[in-house]
Amino acid sequence: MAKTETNGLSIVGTTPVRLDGVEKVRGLSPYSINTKVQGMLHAKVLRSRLPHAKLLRVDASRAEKLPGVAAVVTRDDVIGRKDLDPYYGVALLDQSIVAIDKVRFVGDIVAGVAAADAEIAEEALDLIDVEYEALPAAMDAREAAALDAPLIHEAFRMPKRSYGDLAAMNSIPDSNVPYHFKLRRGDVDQGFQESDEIFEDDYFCPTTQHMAMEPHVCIAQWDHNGKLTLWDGTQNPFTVRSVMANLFHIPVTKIRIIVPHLGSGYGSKTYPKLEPILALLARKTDGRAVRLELTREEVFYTVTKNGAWVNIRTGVKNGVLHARKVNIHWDIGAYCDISPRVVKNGGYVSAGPYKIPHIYVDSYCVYTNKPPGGAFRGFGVPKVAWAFESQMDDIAQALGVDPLEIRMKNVVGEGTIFATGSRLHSVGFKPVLAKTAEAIGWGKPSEPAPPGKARGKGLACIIKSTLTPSTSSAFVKVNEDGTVSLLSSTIEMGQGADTLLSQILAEEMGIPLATVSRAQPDTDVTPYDLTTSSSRSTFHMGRAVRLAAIDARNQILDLAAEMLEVSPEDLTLSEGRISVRGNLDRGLALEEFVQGYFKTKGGNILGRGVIKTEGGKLDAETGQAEITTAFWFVGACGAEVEVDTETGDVRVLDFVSVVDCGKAIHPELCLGQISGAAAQGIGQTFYEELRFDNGQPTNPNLLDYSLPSFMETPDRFTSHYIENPHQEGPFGAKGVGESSIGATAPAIANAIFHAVGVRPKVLPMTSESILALIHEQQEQE
Amino acid sequence: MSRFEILEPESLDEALSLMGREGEDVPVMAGGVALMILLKQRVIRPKRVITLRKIREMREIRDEPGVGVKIGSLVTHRAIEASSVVRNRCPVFAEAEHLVGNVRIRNMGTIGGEICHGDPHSDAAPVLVGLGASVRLVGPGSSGQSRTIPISEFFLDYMETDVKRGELLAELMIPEPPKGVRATYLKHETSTSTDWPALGVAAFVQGNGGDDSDVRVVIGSVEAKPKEIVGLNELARGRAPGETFFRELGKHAASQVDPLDDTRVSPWYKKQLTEVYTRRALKSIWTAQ
Repeated sequence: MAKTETNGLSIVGTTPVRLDGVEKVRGLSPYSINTKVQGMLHAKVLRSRLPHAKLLRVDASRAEKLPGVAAVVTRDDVIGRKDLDPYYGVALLDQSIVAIDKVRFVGDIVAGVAAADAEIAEEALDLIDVEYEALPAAMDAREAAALDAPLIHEAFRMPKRSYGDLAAMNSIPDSNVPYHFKLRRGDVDQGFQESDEIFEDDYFCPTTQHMAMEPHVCIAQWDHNGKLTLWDGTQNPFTVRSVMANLFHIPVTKIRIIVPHLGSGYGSKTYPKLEPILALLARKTDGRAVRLELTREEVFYTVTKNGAWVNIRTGVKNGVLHARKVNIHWDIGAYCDISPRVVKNGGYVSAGPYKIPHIYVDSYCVYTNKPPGGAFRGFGVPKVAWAFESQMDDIAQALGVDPLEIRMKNVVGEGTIFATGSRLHSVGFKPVLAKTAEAIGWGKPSEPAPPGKARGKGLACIIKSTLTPSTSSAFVKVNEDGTVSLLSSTIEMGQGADTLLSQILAEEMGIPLATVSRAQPDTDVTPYDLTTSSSRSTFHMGRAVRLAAIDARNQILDLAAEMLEVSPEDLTLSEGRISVRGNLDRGLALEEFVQGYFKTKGGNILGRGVIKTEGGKLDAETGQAEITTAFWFVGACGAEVEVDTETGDVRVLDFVSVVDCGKAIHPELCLGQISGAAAQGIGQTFYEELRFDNGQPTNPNLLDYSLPSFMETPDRFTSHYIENPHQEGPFGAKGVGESSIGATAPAIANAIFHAVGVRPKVLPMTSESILALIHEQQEQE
Repeated sequence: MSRFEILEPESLDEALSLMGREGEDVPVMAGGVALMILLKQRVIRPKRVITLRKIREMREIRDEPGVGVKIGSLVTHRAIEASSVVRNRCPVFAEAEHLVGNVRIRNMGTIGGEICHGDPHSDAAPVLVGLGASVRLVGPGSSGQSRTIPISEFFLDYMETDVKRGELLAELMIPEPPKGVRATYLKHETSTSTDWPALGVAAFVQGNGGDDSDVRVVIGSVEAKPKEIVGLNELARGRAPGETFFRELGKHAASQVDPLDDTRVSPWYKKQLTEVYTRRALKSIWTAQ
């Protein structure tokens, strides 16, 4: 019997100091970047300086002779091997360990060197002779999707086993479109015919990067039994393990991945990144470990957030949304990584959280000669929300309706059938929007602006799915001294998972939080978890931990009942003590129980919890599914801005983010996630863009690629949540990490629109671009 | 970054003689803010680097009555920003230095390093030109050799200054400002607040619109070197300062600049900013009195 969802909670819903807090503040946290292995070598990789070229010659013989160099890897090490597959990838096998025939972006890996130190390795890179034959590059996703564009991949290689949700790729043969997501609902042509008014706009989001504070870093070592160990700053060790097993034709038990704390991830450390080249280098060092830490520039070449062009056409009938057609070209760079899933998930929410009878979406995954895109906090939603939430205010303006009112009128709710045909549950849009409106002072005019400036308010909301189907598992070990160890593979990367999961365990078992400790994620030790991403850990791992806790508690009460000669129903476990109901003096401390039961100094009670979710497989032609996702994220943002009409500068005076979190397990961490996502959204709104000139990235460094700091956060910056319990979530909880990032930019753009009447459609919104729009408007008047 | 050897002279003369021996390919590092970027991005890959960090000279700010303020080239931005001498004698320079980058950069970066780097995106440069500062260069060979030139002649072109082979910038001299000069420095960043300026306006006003009044504006970060706007006095003298007046001065300044096309903003936008910020700077000086 599980604890009831809301009553009698003593640990869930409180805000203990995060378990990793003190060590992090003191600089003692075991981050990936601080991990060392005795005698380790250091690796560097040689990267292409051309965006697209044939590889005519790669000669590393001079590098191999440099004193201090232990191993060099080039295409000669991967071609024609029986013990190795050169290609890997999660959606398509489109990436090779090192470039074989071609390079496909500036930064593509051509060779790797392991040496006594990083400087020698770098020196060796200069001694590798590479001859290229330049090919025309495709840098714009819309142009690259055309059939006459330069072809970036000559074939689409499917993996032996695909993810269920990506089994049907709908690739367009002989093109740069490896994946095409379609959603068809109702009859969109009829819908437009029936509409009173039609709105059509093009929106653009650029390629950006996550900028996790800690760069990608990994250490690889092969032992003499052919077992590979990785100390890896990854968000999903089990996915990396399975990719490595395929690459090297070895069982997963021959691969061990140990994950230290991550200095943040935001999706950038999902799926294999450095591991393939590093493991191959390490295989040539006769058992010595090899470490690779990326430079900041290399991080930009490893994974990015996909850019996107969104064309959105909306028909309105009798004041409600009636038909919507969305056409999206996602710029996924040179390799798929997990982008097809971004294209799919971003595609099916591109009509927004609205009740629209006729929806038609084409979402194209387009290769370009840029660094590969992949998972980024928000997973596609920010790009499409930028379009549908900006256009929403244009529609409201044209209809003469208040922006809050038009959303309240059209938004989905409990039981609504979504665009994918699935029935929605736990989607508290109306309370979230109402809270947003209240917090931003919606309906109250702004204070008068100083001369030359104008003020306005705006809001926006998003809906997002989580990775489905998926699975998580956890073990609980009750130790001889009454302490409890939690074995789970959720990665602590700043989000506070260690604390949350320990709270859930302590609450469910009835033990003090201080007696719980978490084992380090280690694929040899901690059980399977699909990934720490998609804001899925609280919901999925939380449930698995809870099941493991119940399992352990039930075993304890059953066994204790025999010892105490009562029925298990007569026992309770609370604050680490087993007591007989109605006779509190009769009972056992957990420690006494374990030692008493085993009649020795030690022993373990083992609890286990495994969960899996169903659904997520959408029809390849219509994008319809009975179950789209295990739960839905619901978020909204409100902004008040002051626009300098002479310079285009935008100051955010007030910013609020509101999320439906189901249940806040740890209210402070929950608010931290909400405001963190919004702050990252501020960066995407005003500052961040990886720019290119003739295929060359022009700002792959933190001098020229600007990130928001505390100086850039809004003058007033608050976060709120509402608790609309999810029937399956642990204590009603669901994920919150991505709910506010997608609504940030459109909320601010809508505030600008209401301040000065111009409609930004391109991110980032620079002061120059806003001033240009203001001038354009003045010229038209 | 490529491997290099670091040379650490302990005196100015030792540095100058090392520089003479090592020649032009060996860069000289003060705070390292700009040089480290060039090294990390492998724009330059020297075998040796001379660092000035062990030199005790050139780290002083001195107030010399009747002469002005002397600032050693190894003084950091932060020290200038916090200096009571600079705050009292030429507060506009302290204000501008307060706006440089972020506190980490201000703690590491030196005024001499910034000036010698010659990057047009500088907060100090337009202010120093406007203040009529001069620079004293020493070398080659020994500190006995020295020459002093106005800073306006020191900046030659984009990333190009008048530091000759074997020379080091020893100090800046900011003359005693004429009585009653009011000044301000306004800056516009087009990216985050720690970014380089997209535009800086140093404005100086003496008098109150009479025939002997003096209006000076120097625009930074817009052209290859600080641009002093000419002809403002002709427009300003004998006029009552009102909205139209400030607008005219702003437009006049904008008409004189020929902006660089840099990676952050377009020349069009820099012209807009020049107009708006010149107007705002002058207006703020006039209305503050």
